[in-house]
Amino acid sequence: MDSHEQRLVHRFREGDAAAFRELVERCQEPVFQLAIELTGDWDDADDLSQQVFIKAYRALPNFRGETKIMSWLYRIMVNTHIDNARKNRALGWRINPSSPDEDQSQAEPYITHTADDNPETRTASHYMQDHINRALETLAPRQRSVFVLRHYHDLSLKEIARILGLSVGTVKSQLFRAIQRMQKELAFYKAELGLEESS
Amino acid sequence: MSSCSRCQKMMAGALYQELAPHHQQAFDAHLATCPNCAEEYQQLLWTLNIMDQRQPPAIDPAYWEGFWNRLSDRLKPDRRKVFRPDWRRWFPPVTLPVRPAWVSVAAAVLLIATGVYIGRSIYLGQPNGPAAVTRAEVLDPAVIAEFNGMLSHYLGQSRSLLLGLENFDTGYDDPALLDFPRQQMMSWELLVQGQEIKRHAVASSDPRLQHLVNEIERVLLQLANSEGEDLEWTIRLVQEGVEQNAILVKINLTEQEQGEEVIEESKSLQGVKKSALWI
Repeated sequence: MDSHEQRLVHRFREGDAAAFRELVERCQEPVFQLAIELTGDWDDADDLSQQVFIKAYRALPNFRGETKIMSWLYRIMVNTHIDNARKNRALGWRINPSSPDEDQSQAEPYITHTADDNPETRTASHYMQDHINRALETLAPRQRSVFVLRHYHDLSLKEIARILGLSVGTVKSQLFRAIQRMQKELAFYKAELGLEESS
Repeated sequence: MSSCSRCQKMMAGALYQELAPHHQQAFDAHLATCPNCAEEYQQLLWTLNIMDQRQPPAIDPAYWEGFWNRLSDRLKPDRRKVFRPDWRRWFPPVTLPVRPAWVSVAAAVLLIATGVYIGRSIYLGQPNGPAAVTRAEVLDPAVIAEFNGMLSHYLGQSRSLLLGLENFDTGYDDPALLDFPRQQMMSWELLVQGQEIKRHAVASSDPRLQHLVNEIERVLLQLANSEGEDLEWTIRLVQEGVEQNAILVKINLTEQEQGEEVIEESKSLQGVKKSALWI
């Protein structure tokens, strides 16, 4: 934990409510990005991020500061996400409610879209993103967490093992299975995407 | 293990350049001779290249203002709770609001029952309380046998209590189904037994056992001191403590070692009997 984070935690423990807001503002973007990557849905990501900060608020007085705040928040998020997924499975809900034909700008009102005047490339890019998201959705929650933390958040296998409370060997095998699973999923769309394998 | 299965185990590390140099060398050497593994590696690399093309959403700054407002609303009930300094977490809070009489009576009965139960189970037959275990005593076979019994009971009880909580799914199972007062009572009992085992571990110079009992103690204290207001959170803390310290694995290892010691002892006793027969 860096000295600024330490000061914020100390201020929070002393009863300074503004310190928590500062902490949220410091971490909200990566937390929300991870939530989007784990859930694949704007509303679920919003709710998951809020759950994470609520749990952090409750647990911060006991936070020992042995890890970075971000790692700690990631740990809370992954555990919460796995819990939510179990709960939803038990209730018979599907995690991914968005359909590929859904108007993204309506479903995700705060996403800033990049301007692309060429309808052809825009459609191709849209399909590509859709297939990538679908490949992610095929993963079990723990596999998806391992993959996303390694691939999009650039955490080392050791750091992921520490965050998830798993052995490095387990993280490696989960990651390997995740990539294999996505490879199968993407191979199915290879022709549709018009992509050639790199050699 | 075949070299292909070894290669598969190294695949994830190789894809992210996280292999130690000698492993990377072995991995490259295998790919050079195994077209199947080389093909699989290329396929997985291709997959990662595709996944690299994912565009993270660029979020409008206006979103964050609403985010904090909603979070702040959801935090309102928590803000009413007063934080207690760390050391006070170990003691039940003393509050003086008016409570229904039956709550006070039930609490008093529970407290007395706990005291009587612990007193009976630990001090019965020991009018002067538990004496410190001496180095000479730990070498006494009778003391060893008695201690082994106590340790086995302690580890078994701790395992079943912690395993039950470890397997409890806070997102799915209903905390109301847990017999929490009974588990708290059991925690107190184990905490008292743990003190006795630690005394023995110190006398017999067994730092590993001492360390394990300390770790179990820390987790049990979370449980024993819980005020029962936020069961889900208490369970989560216990689960984190158990997972972070690999307590269940350590209990299993200690039980296994203890079992091996008992077998060794009985073997040596049988050896004595056999040699007596030869005489």
